Amino acid sequence: MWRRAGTLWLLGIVALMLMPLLLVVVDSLNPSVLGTFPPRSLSLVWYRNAFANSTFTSGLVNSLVIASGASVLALLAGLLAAISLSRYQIPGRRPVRTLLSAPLGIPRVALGLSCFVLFLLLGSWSDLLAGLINNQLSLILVHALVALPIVLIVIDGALSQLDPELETAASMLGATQLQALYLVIVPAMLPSILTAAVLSFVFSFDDVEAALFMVPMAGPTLPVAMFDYLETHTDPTLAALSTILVLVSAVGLIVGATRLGSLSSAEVPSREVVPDAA
Amino acid sequence: MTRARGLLLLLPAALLALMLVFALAFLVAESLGSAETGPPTLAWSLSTWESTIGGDYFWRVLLRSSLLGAVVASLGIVVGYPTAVALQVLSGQRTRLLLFALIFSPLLISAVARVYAWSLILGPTGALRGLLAPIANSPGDPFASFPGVTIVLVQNVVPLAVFPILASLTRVQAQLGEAAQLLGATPWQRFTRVTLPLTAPTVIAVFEVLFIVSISTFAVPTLVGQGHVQVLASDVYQEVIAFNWSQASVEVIVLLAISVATIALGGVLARWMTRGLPSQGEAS
Repeated sequence: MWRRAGTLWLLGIVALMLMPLLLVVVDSLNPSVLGTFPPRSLSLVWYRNAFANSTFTSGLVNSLVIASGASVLALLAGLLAAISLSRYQIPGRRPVRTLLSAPLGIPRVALGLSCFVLFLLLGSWSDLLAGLINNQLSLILVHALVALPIVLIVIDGALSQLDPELETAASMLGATQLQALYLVIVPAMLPSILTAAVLSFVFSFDDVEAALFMVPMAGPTLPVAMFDYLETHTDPTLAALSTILVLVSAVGLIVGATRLGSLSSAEVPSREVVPDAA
Repeated sequence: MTRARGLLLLLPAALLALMLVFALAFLVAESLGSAETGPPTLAWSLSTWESTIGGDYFWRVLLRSSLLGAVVASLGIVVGYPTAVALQVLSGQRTRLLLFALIFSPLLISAVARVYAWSLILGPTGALRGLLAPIANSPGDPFASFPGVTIVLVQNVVPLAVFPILASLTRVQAQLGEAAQLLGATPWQRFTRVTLPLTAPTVIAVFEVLFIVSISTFAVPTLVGQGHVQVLASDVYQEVIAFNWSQASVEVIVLLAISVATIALGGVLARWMTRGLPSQGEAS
C-alpha cells in the first residue's frame, strides 16, 4: 500500500513540474485567445505574431549573441581555472575555489545591480571604457561571472576522473605541458566541455533578473521582452515564445542529462581502463 | 615556472572574480551616496540608510519578504522530502535519472515562461482559478496575491530541495539503515529515530537555500503579484527604474545581510541539533 501511495505521489510531483509547460506548448498552438482546453483547432498564428514583432525578434538575436558570448567566456575562464586548480600547486587553492564559486550563491538581484553600478561608474570616468562596455558586453560579463561556477563544477568532475598517467605518458612521448593540454586533456574532456557549454548557454539564455538590470546597456533580451509583454498582456504570443524557450532549453536538458549520466561511467579513460604500465 | 603558468591559467577567471569584488565594493559605496535620484554619486553619507531604516514601508516589505521566504522554504521541504524518500525507495538507477531530469526541467525554462504557464491554470481564464479565491485576499485576480506567488515559487524550489535530501537519505541508508533493521526496528521507528535526526542538518541547509532563493527573486513576485505583492527584491527593481541607485543599493545590501545571517543561523542550529550524535562526516 505504501508503495502504491509513494508511486502516485512521485507521478503527481512529476505532473506538477511538467503540467504548466505542457499547457504552454498546447496553448501556443491554440488559435483561441481564451485558452480553451482542449483546443478546438491547431494553428501557428501566435508564432507568426511573435516573429512579426520586432521587439521579440531583436530580443531573440540579442539573447543568442549574449548567451554565445557568455558561454564561450565562461568556458574559457572556467576550463583554464579548473586545470590550474587541479594540476598546479597554487598557494591558497581552496579560498580561490570558494571565491570562484561564489557568484552562484549571490542573488541575481545583487549581481545585476552591483555590476550595473560598477559599469555605470566606470563609464562615467572614462569614455574609452564607456564605449567598450555600453553594449552587450556588459551582460556577457555578468552572465559569464555566474556561469563560471557551473563550468567549474562540471569540468572539475571530469578532470578528477581523468587519469593523470595519460599526461605522464604524453610527456614521456615528448609533449610539452602545453601540448599535453590541448592534445590530450581537452580532447579527453570534450563531452564535459560540451555539457558545460550547453548549461552555460541555457542559463544565460533563460536569465531574466540580471538581464533586466543591464537593459540600458545591453538592450533587451528575449526573456526581458517577454517580461515587459507579460506585465501588460496575457495572450498566447507569450505561449509561443515560451515554447521556443522550452525547445532551446530542451536541447540543453537532453545533452546535460545524458552527459551527466555518463560522467559516472567510463567514457573518459580512467584508472581502471588504462593498464598499469609497470 | 610551473607555478607561474598555473597562475596564468587562472587569470581570466580571476579577472571575472575581481569584477565581482569591485562591483560589491561599489555597491556598498553607492549605498552611502546621497538619496537624490540621478546619476550615481559617491558621497559618504548615511542619509539613505537613515531614511530607509526609519521608514515604515521598508519594514513592512522586509516582513513580507521574510514571510514569503519562510513559507516557500517550508512548503518546499514538505513537498520535497517525501519526494526524495519516494525516489530513493521506488526507483532504480535508470528511472531515477529520468525522474531527476523531469523534476528538474522547470528550472531550465525561463522564469517568465513558468509564470505564464501558471497563469494559464490559476489566472483569470484558468481552469483552476477558483482554487485561490478563498485564501487570496486581493481585490481582483486571486492569482495576483501572496498565495499565488507562493505556489509558483514552491514549484520553482522543489527541485532544489529534492536532490540534497535524496543524497542525504542515501548516505543514511547506506550507513545505518540496515543496522537499524537488523536490530529489530520497525520501518516507522527506523524513520523517526534514525533517518529523520540524521537528515536534519541537510534539511536545515536546504531550508537556508530555499529561503535565500525565495527572498532574492523578483521576477515571480513582480509578474504574478502585479504590484499587489511587494517584496524587497521587487522593490529594488522599482528603485532602479526610478534611478534611485543608493536606495536600491541599501536594499540589496540588506538582502545580502539577511542571506548571510540565515546561513550563519542555520550553521548554529545544525551544530546544536547534532550535538551528542557521532560525527557523520559532512552533514550537507
